[in-house]
Amino acid sequence: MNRCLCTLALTLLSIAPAPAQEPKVYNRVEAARLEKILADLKIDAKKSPGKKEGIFEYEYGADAERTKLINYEGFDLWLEHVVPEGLPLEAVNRWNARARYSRAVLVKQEDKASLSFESQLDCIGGVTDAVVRQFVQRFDTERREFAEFLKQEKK
Amino acid sequence: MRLPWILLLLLCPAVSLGQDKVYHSLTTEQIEAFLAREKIEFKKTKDRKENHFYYDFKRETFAMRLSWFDGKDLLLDCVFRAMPVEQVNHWNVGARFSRANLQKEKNTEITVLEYALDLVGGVTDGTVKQFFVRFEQEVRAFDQFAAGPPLDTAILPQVDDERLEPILKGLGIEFQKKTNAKGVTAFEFEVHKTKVKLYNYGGKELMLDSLYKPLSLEAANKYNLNRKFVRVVNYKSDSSDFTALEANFDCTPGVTAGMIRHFVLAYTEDVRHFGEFQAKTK
Repeated sequence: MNRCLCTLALTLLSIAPAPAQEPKVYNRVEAARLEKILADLKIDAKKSPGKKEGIFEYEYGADAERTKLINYEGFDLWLEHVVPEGLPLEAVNRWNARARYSRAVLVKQEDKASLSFESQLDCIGGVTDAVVRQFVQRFDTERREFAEFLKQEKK
Repeated sequence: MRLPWILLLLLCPAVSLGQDKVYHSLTTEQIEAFLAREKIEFKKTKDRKENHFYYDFKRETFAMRLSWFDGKDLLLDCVFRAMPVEQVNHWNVGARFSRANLQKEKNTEITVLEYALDLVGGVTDGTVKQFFVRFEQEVRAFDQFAAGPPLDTAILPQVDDERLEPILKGLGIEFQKKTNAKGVTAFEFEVHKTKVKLYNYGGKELMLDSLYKPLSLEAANKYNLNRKFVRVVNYKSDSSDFTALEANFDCTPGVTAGMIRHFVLAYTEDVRHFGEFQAKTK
């Protein structure tokens, strides 16, 4: 009888659910990990080397939604969507006053003006895959809101 | 007929460093011979100033530079990412041989670890060798120091005021806590002589802001162009116009106390940096 009870207890223990694992926290986003996150989000990105060793760029999205994700040696991530036209600084400031995780910056190069819609994630204090995923997904949401904002500003 | 070999010895240029010979200056040839002997592959460049040369090389994963100043002194340096000035000072208080300082490289702030060797009083081959060995040890130690304390891995079940308070206290921040009619708590404190507010929006989002005299829109845009992680915005109110330095932190995916600590610390460094920018900008 005791042996049966022991066997039953062992069986029950072996099928009991494992304790939930804490997500892994890391303070440097390795390229392979970032690429897996993008793949999990079904983002088909084209990878290219950045301006310096250790920096990589990932471009994805159709023309009007073209987004660039830059991995600065794993220490921080940068997302940007460039609009190839300028906007009065008052309007740029109006967006920035309502933005939560993004900002708009007017960029002037020679005679051309463009808008950089951007967001950065500082990874040094620690991030998880969920934090990086949220960073990418939230940027896309705000980018669409910014596109609507631009339409309203042009009216 | 033994004279010729003595003459050869006298005529041979003293390129290499003799073991116990004391030198009060070193030529670029002697430095380059030393680097070659130590199997250090370098790239030599010239400074704008006369008699200043740079030798760039790599040790393990660290890119280092040896500066040669007219044969009279040498400087070894290694560049790291920018860190808060308090952290830089903390290193300098404890370090025995090297020093760290914040510098600007184009539009980016960097931290430079340096170690100088004065040759004028006299150095031997052993002194120069130890100069390199010691600097490499300092660089490795600084790299660990720069990485900060061990990573906090416990995801907070929620980001409530009770969890924020010990984080702020642990950072040595004395704060006043106020809750508005909408239930948003603000922790008010002062850093670098500037009032800062940390807002907690129901545990889902944290926001830091500090208010300043109004900047022009051009200056605000210029700052946003050159600085990461923050946002400068101009506001108009009935009473007065002002400029705000803002940073937001999304807590919804699950965060640790360490992440929040870093968010606050990094922002205090932004307050220092923006204060300097504002002081220089009309």
